[in-house]
Amino acid sequence: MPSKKDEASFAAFLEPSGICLVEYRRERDGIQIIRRHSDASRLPGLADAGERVAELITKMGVQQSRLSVAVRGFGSTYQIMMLPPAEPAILGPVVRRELARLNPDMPSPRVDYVLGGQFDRRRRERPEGGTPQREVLVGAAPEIAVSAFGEELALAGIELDHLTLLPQVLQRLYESGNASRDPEALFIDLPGGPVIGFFHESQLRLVVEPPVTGDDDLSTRAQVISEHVDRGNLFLRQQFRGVELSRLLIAVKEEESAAFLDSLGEQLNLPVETFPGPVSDPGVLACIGTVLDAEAEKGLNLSPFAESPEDKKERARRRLVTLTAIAVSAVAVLWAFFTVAATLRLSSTVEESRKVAVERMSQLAPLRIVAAERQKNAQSRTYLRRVRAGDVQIQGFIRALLRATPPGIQLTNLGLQRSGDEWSVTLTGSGYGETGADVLLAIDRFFHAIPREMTVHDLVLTDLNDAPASQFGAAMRFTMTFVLSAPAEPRQ
Amino acid sequence: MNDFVARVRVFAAANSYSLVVGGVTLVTVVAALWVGLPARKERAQLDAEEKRLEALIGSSKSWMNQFQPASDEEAAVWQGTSAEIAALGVPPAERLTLAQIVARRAEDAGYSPAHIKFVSPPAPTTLATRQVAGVSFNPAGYALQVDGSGSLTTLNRFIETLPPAVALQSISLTAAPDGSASTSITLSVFEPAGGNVK
Repeated sequence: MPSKKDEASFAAFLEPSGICLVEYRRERDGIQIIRRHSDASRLPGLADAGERVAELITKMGVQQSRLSVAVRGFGSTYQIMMLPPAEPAILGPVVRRELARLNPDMPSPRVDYVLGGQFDRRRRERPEGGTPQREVLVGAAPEIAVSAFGEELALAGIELDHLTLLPQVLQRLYESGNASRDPEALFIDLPGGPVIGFFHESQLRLVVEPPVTGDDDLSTRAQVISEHVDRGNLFLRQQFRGVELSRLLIAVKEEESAAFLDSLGEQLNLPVETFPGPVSDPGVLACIGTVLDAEAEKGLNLSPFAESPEDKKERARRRLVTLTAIAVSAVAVLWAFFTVAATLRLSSTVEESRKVAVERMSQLAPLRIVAAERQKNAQSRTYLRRVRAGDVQIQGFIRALLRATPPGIQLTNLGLQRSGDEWSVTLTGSGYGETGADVLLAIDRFFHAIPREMTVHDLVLTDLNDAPASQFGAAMRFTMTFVLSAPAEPRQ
Repeated sequence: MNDFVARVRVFAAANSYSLVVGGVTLVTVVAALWVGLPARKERAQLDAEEKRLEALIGSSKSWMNQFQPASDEEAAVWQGTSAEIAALGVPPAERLTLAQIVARRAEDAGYSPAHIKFVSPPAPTTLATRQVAGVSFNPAGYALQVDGSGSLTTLNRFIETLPPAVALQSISLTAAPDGSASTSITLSVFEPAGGNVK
């Protein structure tokens, strides 16, 4: 499959009086015409024009080619409308309806339009804040004719890129040339008849095709052109607040250029200059204008393979939807993929760790037995100490009781009764002394010595009575009760 | 209702492409979530398990490094401990032997004469079952009562020599005119429980 680089690029200007075809190459600084071909045979329709163009290109021995075409006549029409600014979705139907109204005889027209600049004809300010109307160049051609043209080319393997109309070619040529915002006119003496475009603020405002032929002598043609330029000037003056043409640019055959310049310069009261640029053939100039419109971001394109603005917008919307959907789906799928992949990787790692752990556990099994035996032994030792602690506590109690018993106190009865981990103690004794106060002092000392010597609680003196006097003088019997606290938990 | 349905139809017709693409995207996203969410949950569980296993492996490694094998002396200690544990109870058939041992030790402690007799055990709530190293010892259906005459010092010596199968339950000392003390000691006895009975 040949690449786009291998494709030959052609541009053609078609009118009923013949064809002008050029092969060109787009250079960085301009368009290079490689070869040109003109065919002055009369063309009855666009289908025949397509067949003729295909023949010409095929004869050049080109396998793959792309073609941009400008058409004049063949049932095509154009209209410069002033319409309020609106979205393409609104403007498109309005333009089509308006064109159908103006051309009721055209069956199923193929319509396209380009937006020009805004122009406010009102002198007064717009207090309501409205926006001025916009110029719209509308072009149309019968759908059947352009389809037949495209099919003839397609049969020859020629890709019809662009199909525009002569007024749009004028606009592109004027823009690429020495475009001025002043009112100016551009006259191109095409083989099929002259065409004059009137521009103001760089926008095409009026197109005139004077009814002269190449058979008329030059002075007659110049006279007719001059009259139409005057009329065009009148139109601009009326439409755009009295502006006046400042210059006339002409593009005619090289051999007629000087004569036209002289003749028109004499008849018109304004400067007449040659259209700038190296091309001197008006037909080739029209081809270059066609290329410029094809390369423009928004050209007037009536090609049956061209998309309407609505279709283009829908396609762009679908592309956006598709890309968004792909992005969202890709993110979701990638997230799921990486999550699953990470899980599987981690699962593998965990499986390895499990094996290592099982192996370690099997190595630890005999060690565990030893450890369990040590633990069991430690627990047993602790328990034995705790069992022994009960007896030791009683031994400690007995020693403490002996220490706590002061002189003058004689214990007569001691009872210990286990109650869980604690012991309930009942202690009966007698106190002796020379006086009752001595006796009470001894009992009091004993009473306070008990909690100092041992861990007890609920110490109560339950009974205190006089006892029969002895050789010491005074005596008293007492009974105390208390609870011997549980021994402290032995250390591990 | 019909108006609503008509609007929906118009909307669906006007946005069929977007609806189809949106539907496919939704299915893709739902499928991705259906696969990804359980995987994520599983990963969280695996992550936790991995951390646990790492800690286990790390601790086992340090444990193995620090582990000291059991020496013969240590094994002998375990054996001695087991014997001491076994001595925490006396089988019913050996109650007379136990009584004889207790009486002998009471006399050795200084109780003269030492009288011993079997009495009813104390209330079960006052004594807990001995449980250690997988062995249980229940309070026996009898108790030993030791009567004798001696001082607090005698009592102290006697307690020192009590066999591990008995536990002090109550002590009563009453001073006698001759300076000694009439002592009565009740000892709870423990017997091996169930299968431990020999």
